[in-house]
Amino acid sequence: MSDAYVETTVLTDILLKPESPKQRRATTALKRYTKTLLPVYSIKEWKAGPLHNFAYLHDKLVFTKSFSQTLNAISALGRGTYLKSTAMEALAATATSLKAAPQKYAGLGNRDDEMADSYRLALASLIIRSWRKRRKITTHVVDDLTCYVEVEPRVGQDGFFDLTPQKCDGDQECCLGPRLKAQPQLLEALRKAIPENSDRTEDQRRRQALKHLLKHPKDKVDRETCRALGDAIYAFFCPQNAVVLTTNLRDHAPLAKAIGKKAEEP
Amino acid sequence: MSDTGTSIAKVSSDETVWLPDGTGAPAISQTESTRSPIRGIVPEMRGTLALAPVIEIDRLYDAVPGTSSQIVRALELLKQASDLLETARKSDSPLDADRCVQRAQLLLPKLFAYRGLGDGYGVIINSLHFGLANLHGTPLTSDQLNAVWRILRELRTKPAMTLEQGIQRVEEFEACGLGVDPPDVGVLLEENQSAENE
Repeated sequence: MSDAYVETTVLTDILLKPESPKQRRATTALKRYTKTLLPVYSIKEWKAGPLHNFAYLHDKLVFTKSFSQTLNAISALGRGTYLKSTAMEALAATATSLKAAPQKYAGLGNRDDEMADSYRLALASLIIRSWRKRRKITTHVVDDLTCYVEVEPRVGQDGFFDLTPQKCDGDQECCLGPRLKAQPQLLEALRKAIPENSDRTEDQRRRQALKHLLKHPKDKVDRETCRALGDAIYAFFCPQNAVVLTTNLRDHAPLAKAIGKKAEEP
Repeated sequence: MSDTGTSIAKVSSDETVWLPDGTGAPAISQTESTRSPIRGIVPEMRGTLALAPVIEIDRLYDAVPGTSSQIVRALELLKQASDLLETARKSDSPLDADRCVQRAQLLLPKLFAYRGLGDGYGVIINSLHFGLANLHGTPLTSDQLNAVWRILRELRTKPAMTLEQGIQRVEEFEACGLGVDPPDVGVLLEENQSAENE
């Protein structure tokens, strides 16, 4: 039985999708492995991505004090916000008929402002509790990042969430840098696994970052490069006897395969 | 409002008797009355082990039922809810116990209307709502019932909890197996998202 190297999407399903089939699937999947390893890089990405989005939603509810206005505002932002636009549109559409169909909502109250407060409080609670659980869901937390400080999210006097820091310390080299540069053959294999003609921004950034590491091994790896490497980090640091556990096989499987490793879905 | 039976140590004496051990601690003889001269107020004491004056919540917010005061109304509703849960705890019949819990559950929207008391209060009532809704009608276990009763009772004595204090109580709900989050919150996230796509 192999070990699992847990990627951000699985962490998200477990911590931020309560009472959902995805959470049950991810939680069950962890039991398949002898050891489950959560790299701190996953925590960092999770905080800067999904948790940040939930905090945004919370803050929008604080600001508008309206459930329907919040949903409409987020829906208008569209894709790229990571907030599921289709679901948001659907919710926003029904939010306008809140009084007519209050049973469609799980929140407490029938009025728009009550629903806003119900979700605001639920999000505040979920954000803080999920942060506290993050290091408890796997058997091990691995690959600590000495250049990154884990600070609990907090609600400020103004009622808005403060999720800083979300990035590594910019004054020092990324602590993963020396380990990455020590194995240029892996970096080259990872670079080749990314389609040269890909029009996806993240692919282009990743290829660029890998190319830079290969061409300038004496340069310090900064936090932007580390972040651009993204999915490649998981393939690179996943132990040989482990699989990258992710819901995003499309991106992770080719990278893992390129260096003789494997990615699996929950 | 009537007393909930919350036990608060009461000391009644015009003159505090001090222990002769030099600690400055007050001594209370067995024969002394423990009835407060004014209901719900504990007289101030001096010394290193002195207690701050404690005023019972019903005394502090002593008002006629039906008053428009938010806190008084909230305390009344919390008393109703905790009394129902206490009845459920003492009931020998699971059916009767569940009926009491259902009646307490019906008070939650009214209790939520007083969330202006503080985010600690709001988060506890809100999470309890989701906790019960996520059971989909399954009765509370004995552990869950005890936790809910205990926390609502505590909330009644400390209605102005901070958000952090409220979240600690929510973690207690979770620890006894209640799912305290909205079941639809996860759909708000995009599939396969990651921070690098920003």
